[in-house]
Amino acid sequence: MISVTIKPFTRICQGDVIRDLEYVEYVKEKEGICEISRVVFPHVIILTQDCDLKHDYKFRTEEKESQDKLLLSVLAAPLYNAEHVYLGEHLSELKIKSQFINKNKSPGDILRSNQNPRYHYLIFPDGIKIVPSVIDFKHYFSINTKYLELHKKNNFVCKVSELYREDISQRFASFLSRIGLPK
Amino acid sequence: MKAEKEKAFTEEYSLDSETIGNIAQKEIKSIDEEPSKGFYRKNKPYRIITRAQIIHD
Repeated sequence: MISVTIKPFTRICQGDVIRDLEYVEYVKEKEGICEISRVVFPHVIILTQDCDLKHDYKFRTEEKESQDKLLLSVLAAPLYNAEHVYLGEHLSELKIKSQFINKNKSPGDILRSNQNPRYHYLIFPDGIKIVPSVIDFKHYFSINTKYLELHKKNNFVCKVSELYREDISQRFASFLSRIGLPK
Repeated sequence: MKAEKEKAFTEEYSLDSETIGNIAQKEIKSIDEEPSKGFYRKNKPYRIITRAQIIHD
């Protein structure tokens, strides 16, 4: 089980868990009709380094000679219900079928012990209304910083505490920098 | 008039006629029907496709 804090900071923090976040897939316009496609994620976790987020906030809210540290976007990854992930059904509403992971055999154990580089399994403490969940590092995406800050005001769930946050961050970096060697 | 425009728009986009358009209609309808029971209870990501007419002042 991880530990979390429930006191929200005004700024976005690494490890923030935020609910109902919209990811814009595309916007297109033709002959005066605008079409916007969004995916709503029930829960996401913020992955951008905390020092970057801290400096971004500082440079946006204080008088500075430059805007050198501003971020254009923030990295996040979805949290999926672990039971849905085992079944490969976590993206079924998007018409995407994923691989079945046998919960009661080795693949399930490997996922829960965080030995599968793609996934990070989390159990939240009592009092946080989130079921056992899985971060899928392959599905990371970016969100506009200011939009996320506004959204966080009413949709903050908790912040993963530093030790567990660093574990997630290190595994995410490792996953991104993996090298696929030919067989 | 609105329905005609919607239909014309859907037909004009080759992608929309079979896929995006139909999915959009279906999903918007689903969400409108049961905003608090259906998708949220399932706790899964879902897609919303919104169309709006751009009005130039």
